[in-house]
Amino acid sequence: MLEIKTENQTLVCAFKGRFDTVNTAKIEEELIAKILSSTIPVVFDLKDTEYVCSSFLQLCTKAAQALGAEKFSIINVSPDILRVFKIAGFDKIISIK
Amino acid sequence: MAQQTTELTETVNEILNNAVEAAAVFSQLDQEQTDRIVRAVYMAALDNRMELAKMANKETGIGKWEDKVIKNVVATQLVYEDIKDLKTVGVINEDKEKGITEVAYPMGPILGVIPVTNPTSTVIFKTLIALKARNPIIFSAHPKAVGASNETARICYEAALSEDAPVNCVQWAKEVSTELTQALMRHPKLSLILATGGMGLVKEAYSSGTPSIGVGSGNVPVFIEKSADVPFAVDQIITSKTFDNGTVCASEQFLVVEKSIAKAVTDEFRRRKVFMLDEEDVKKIEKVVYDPKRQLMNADIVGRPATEIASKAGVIVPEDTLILIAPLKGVGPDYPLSREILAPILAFYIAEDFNHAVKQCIELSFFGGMGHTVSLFSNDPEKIKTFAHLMCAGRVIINQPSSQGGVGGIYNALHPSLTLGCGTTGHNITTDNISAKNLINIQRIAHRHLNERFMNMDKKLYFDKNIKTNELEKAYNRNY
Repeated sequence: MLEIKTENQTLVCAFKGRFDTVNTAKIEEELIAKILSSTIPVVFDLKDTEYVCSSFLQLCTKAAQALGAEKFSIINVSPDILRVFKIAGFDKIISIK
Repeated sequence: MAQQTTELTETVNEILNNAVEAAAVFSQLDQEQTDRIVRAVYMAALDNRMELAKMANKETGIGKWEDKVIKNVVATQLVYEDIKDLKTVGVINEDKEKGITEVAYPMGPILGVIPVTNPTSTVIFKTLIALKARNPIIFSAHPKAVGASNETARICYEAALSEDAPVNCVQWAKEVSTELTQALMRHPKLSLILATGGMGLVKEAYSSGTPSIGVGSGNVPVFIEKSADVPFAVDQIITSKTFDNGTVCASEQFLVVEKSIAKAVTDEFRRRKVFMLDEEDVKKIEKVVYDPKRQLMNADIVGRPATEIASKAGVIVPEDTLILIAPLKGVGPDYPLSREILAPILAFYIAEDFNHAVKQCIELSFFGGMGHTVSLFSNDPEKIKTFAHLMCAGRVIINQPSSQGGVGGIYNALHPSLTLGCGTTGHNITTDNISAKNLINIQRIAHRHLNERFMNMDKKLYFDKNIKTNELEKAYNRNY
């Protein structure tokens, strides 16, 4: 589901599977705590992410607001997930690759 | 004033940012997931049909709560049954022979403007069709029906969430104002406006720059042609005109009968608690129902019972009177009751013959109501065809109540809808009974499929200025 590790001075959060409301709620508290206490940049790796719900998008917004644009990015998005972020307009406020 | 504007901007931005996020999440759902959401909304709204109908009636004072229950049933059960099997996600059509595949994708956030006449049924209807096409919807209620409309939206939203619909797939303006509605309409993140209401509102929607589906005014003529079954026709017209006290836009406004059956028709109406006004009564009623400044019906009489309107006008009628019939000599500005009046009042005109009757119906349509609906009672197929071809109407309702007939799904197989397009003659983009199929974008995948005739054509011929056009056509259609 969620794997968090430090790589090259970056906190990498890898999200695997479907992140619907229930699944997002399971990881939200722990993740927010880790992000807020992080002194290094944070990256969300969505390589194996199949679906993102509204609360997942809100999680991304919170991370971006807490860390600032330079210290937060989203990587390895599939075309499907990229489209979600584009429709939501997130690519204008978060670095998404 | 500057602070208010900032607050308004913030409110509108928040609503639309929520909506585009919901649209983003919605875009991932497949047909099965989408249909589960739609079904949940349908069941919840149907379950609450009576409470919402009573709420609407109490808050607006318009119509009859029992008929609003039926409107809610149409908006839920009939609309759901009509759209439930519609493909709205992914491949929706495949023509292997021509190599064209059609794929549906959502439009994006929709603004649903809600009329005071159908404050709960229109919310339900627009929620179902919007969500079926995976579009988030935002509601702007009529100021006189905010409570009922917003409660309906809340019920629909919670039902949608129960099936994991995107957060904010249904939103509603908690406090409505003209400024808020206009700001929502003009927001760059809004994809479409579904404008169901008066002409001012529809014009506002079109002027906003956002694609819009609007409606037109009804002002429906109903013609009882001499081959009609008179008692049946009268019965159906009463069923229609009394439904929710005449508030459906497709309700009959102007009754035209041929001279040869006029007495039979009026006698039949009289037998059925319909009151024929005399000339003096007509003048009194005009003063009450028509607002000469706005050149529109007086909003205070919309959906009020015939007896109440008569009493306001100082016209004495039996207390069980269902409809007031106003004999008129013509159509136009000198005859205010020939305008759309959403109340149980029917203008009445005796025509010399079929042609004269048809001409009166044309006059009425051109005066107000172009493209909407016309109604005919006839058992003569040739006359039905002739009448229909001469009318400029999106719906020609034959031998049935026009209110329910125009809405569709009860007395005919039209798509049940609470937003009836009037086509370009009514300044709308379509004559459709609006449904979910109007709320999807269709992408066409065009596989290579050569136009053999064009490919085999000697192209040099196109540059031959001496060649005759019919020779070009012959060459194009040559069968090798």
